Amino acid sequence: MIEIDLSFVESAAINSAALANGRGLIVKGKFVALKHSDDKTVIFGECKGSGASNYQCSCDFVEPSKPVYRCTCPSRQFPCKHSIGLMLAWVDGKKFSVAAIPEDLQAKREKIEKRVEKKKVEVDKPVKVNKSALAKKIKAQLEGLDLLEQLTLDLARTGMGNTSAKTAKQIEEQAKQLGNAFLPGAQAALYNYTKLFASEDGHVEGEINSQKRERIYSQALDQLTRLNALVKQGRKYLQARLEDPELKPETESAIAAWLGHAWQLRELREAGLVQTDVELIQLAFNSYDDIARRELVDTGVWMNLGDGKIYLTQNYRPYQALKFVKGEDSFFKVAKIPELCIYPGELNRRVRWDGMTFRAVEPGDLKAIRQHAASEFAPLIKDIKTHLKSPLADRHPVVAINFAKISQIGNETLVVEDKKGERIVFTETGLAEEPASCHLLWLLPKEMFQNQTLIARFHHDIDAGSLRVKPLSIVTESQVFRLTL
Amino acid sequence: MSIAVLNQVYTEARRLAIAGSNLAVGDFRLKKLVEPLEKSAQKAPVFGVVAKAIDKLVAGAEKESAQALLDLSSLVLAILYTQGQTSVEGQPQPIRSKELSLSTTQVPARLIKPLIEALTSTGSGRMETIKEGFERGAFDDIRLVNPAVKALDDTYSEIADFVTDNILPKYGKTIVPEIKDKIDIKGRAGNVRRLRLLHQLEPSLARSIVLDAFENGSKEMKIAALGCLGDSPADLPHLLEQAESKSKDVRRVALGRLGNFNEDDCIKLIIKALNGADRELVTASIRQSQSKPSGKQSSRRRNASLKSYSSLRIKPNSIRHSSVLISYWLATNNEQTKSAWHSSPPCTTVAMNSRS
Repeated sequence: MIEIDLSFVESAAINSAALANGRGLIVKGKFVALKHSDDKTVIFGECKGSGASNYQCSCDFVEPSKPVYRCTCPSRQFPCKHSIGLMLAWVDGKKFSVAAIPEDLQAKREKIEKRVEKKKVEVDKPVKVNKSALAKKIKAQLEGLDLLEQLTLDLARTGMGNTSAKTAKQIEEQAKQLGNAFLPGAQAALYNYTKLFASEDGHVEGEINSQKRERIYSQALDQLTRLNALVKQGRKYLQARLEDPELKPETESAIAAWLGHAWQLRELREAGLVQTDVELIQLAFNSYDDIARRELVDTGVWMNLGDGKIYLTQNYRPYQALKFVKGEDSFFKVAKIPELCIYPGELNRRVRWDGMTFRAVEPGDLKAIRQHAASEFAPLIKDIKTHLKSPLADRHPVVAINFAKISQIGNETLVVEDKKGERIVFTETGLAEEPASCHLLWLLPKEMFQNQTLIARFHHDIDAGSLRVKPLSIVTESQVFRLTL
Repeated sequence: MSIAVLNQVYTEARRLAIAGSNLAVGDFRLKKLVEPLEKSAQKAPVFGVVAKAIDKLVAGAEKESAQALLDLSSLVLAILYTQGQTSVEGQPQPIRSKELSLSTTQVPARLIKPLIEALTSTGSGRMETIKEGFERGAFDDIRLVNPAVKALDDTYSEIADFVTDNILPKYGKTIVPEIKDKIDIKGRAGNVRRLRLLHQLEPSLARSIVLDAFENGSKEMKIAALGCLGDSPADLPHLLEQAESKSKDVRRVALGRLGNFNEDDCIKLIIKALNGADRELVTASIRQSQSKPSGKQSSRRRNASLKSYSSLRIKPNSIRHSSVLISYWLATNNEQTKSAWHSSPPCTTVAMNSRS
């Protein structure tokens, strides 16, 4: 049974242009035939195109969590505009006639079923690792780490004050070699350093003024220590793997991802890093342009309704692949995930899944968020500080906290207090790419400031010696009130 | 006390990282900190570790200095990350919230992000994005309030006008302080819109600024201020004066606002305008004067005057005459006027168009 609504179609579309094109097809009356199968699991039809013959397109929902879009048009986008138009026609309530499932569609369904069966069998079979190739790769990575060490020590030796736009550019050139050495994570870490010396638009072409320089030095030093730790811990980890080729990528800490390992879902499954039948609710969302990585990134902050853990989703869209990789959007329902894969890490672990259904948010879900949120600030702050201690830790963890009230001190400062009177001050600084949110607090109705749940991102200001929070959302009894995007 | 020492260690390490690690060897400021650290080590061993790290740096060789400086920095930073202050002194007060009546943020990012960009940047295609967002009700979302207010100064006047007329009034009195504080009476486009908006949202508050702009403002602001006059009888002399101005724009605004009044002087002026070249300028005024509730006597007088005009023009020939009469008819449903233009072909066409 197909249960899709407009918001589903909107989120299925890669971007708004695809959606608009799909809508345009209906408006222009290009659909010649609209059909659905007897059991209403698949909709299909014919659409006039610029080619000689009509395009046959279909949307198959036999597996509701993994809809399959097929079309004979030459576009490589999935779903293409014809499939989107087909779904929009369904959602609009246009007339679809019952028809038998076309043979080729049926054949493709069977093919998928066979493939799924084969995969299940294969999962039990251990994956054969080419040991010599792996050893070669690890050696290349170790050499890459040597290069990283040399670059980092050079930076420390010449001094941050002497790092000009020119030297930053030179470092970026060298960083490319790290990418060749299978260390994309290390490369990204180096870019995070050089981009501090970049101008507003992200390029290290022009010099930055001395005022800006002064502000970035603390951050730059922090980044240098991270690079230092990456070299040390990375080396230790890779040596261990070299000595024991059977060793799987480490799962206790996130060192593998920091070096740049792209975890496959299969690997996470093998390592037992899965949870089944999980329900997630999104608490905050942001989409930004990471100029250093040359990618657009969509990040979601989610809470596991079962155990209250806060997870992050990261969707990376390289500039060259923007047409083909789907951009994510804010998600206002509860995601029901049959198999959630959780990356190694601490506090806000990254998650990914393949296939989900959804249901509407109920008051019980919002209550669950409140129950899972921390009610006392003191133990929470202690945990956060312990987490921040580690040089490779995520410096901006997200938490859910129940507060008694939000008030102002003086004209500008906003604080949040728990029921014991423990206070944390708000700040607008968090992740550079996150939209400002504090200013919205001055516009909210008074109920928002009493006895609600705050989703906040911690930020430690090294120079001021202060630990502050940036508000991302406020969860009330009726909604998740988003303050960022 | 001991944390202060650590902060000092950090400051020195930072300084040396800026200058270059070679200069760290033998650095006397760092050396001085070793002693207090070793003393504190008796209470907390970690200070002793820091002291050792400093020693390794200042007493070591230059070629080891980079590694030693990084190690020291890592160590000190790790400790300082556990010492962040969360609280602040002072008495908390309830937030002086502006309490916007919109209290939803359920608009998805895919819709909001392009809207925020459209409202705050420049380029083509923004008008369509904003119109579409408006039609989809996106502007009920609190996150668009500030970008929408910023759009008052948009370089593309169509966008700025659209926002001023359709979007900002929704936010009501909450945005008044924001607008009022930024009005510059010597300004142009954005300030004209601000004045108009302020007058729409809070006429009493706007009054003093309107008068000031009318007297002392720039040309555009004077006209805008003129458009805000007419709420009080004191404005009548100004309006009457400006209705005879050389500038058509000024006359249009003044005649438009005269619709608020029923005095004989006004009626005379309006009829004079109908007779002259300014007949289109008074259409709105006539319509408004009919729809405005007023005393029975004054409305009878007004109707009488306008009726006498229409009786003189039983056979209007030009389309321009017709449009004025049509608007009068639409406002009054006056039978006499209806019969007047029924008899004239050009009028019938115009009437059919306006009836829809």
